[in-house]
Amino acid sequence: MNNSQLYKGSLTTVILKLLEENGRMYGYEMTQKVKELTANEVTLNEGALYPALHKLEAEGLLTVEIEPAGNRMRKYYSITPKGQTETVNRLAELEEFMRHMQLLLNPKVSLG
Amino acid sequence: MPTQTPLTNEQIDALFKFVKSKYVDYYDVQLELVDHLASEVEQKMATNPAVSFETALQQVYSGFGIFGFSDLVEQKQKAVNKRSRLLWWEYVKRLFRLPLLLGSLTGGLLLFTGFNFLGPLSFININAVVSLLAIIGFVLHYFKNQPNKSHKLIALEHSGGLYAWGIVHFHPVYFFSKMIVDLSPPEVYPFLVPLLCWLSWVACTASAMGYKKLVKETQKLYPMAFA
Repeated sequence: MNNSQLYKGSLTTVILKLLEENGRMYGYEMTQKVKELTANEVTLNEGALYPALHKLEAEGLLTVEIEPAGNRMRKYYSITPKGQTETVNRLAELEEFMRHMQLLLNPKVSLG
Repeated sequence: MPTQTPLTNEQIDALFKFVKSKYVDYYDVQLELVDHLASEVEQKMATNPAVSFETALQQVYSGFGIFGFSDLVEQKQKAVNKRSRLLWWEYVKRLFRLPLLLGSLTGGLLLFTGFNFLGPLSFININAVVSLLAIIGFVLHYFKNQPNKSHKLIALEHSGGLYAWGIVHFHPVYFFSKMIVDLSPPEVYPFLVPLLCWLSWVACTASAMGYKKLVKETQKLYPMAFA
């Protein structure tokens, strides 16, 4: 993802949301989907994407399947029921964060 | 959108060689990286047909940052360790819930009865011998379920903590049991020693069950590594 702590902090939430909406996906497919959704403005960095996927898998939020794709094997990730619950929580947290940031960065002028 | 031509078998082999040359020794990591590199190289070659396979590969590799694949492998090791710990803890909790709780309680009852029947020293020694047999069983199971040498799997190799615990913890249990008998009053140690042994067997059983699940999952995901 773009080289900013703001984006990095949201990477696992973005992955969970992508999988929740698209069903199972593989790593490269996620990078393309993010590009498509943001009109090439946001790029998922491979060096950050795979560690995040492996972490989510280790936490039991994602499950994996491996299937042949032409002359190679492909690892697909999908969200678990525990992952779905976690997605709802993380999205709510992110929305709350964005709301707070808007309040902090664009405070309404109080006219006593 | 330009049409993508799939890479040839030789190019896929070249990707495996490339990944191995970057010190990615584990087949489960290689497999995912090769698919990623192949997908991106195919796209680059489709977008710009003048670009060679080798150039496209170098461009894609640069996307992994200055540390290349090493950071990814290191993070994967951490994730595998975390998974092992979570799996072990999940089985510990299961052993204290029905239906496995019945087995745990029966085991505990056997240990307390055995202690009263055999006396402290014989009990501790027999527990040590049974533990030794369990260790031998573990080691045999471990080597029987290893992937073949050309397909090392990070998912199994770095879950060692889960398994090693099951093996090494009997040694301190033996000495602690003896120490408890020597140092605590006679009305306390008949309770403490079987309790310690029971907890150690519960921990050991959770290790064995967790590892068994891990092996089963890994064999299902990477059957080619065990062929």
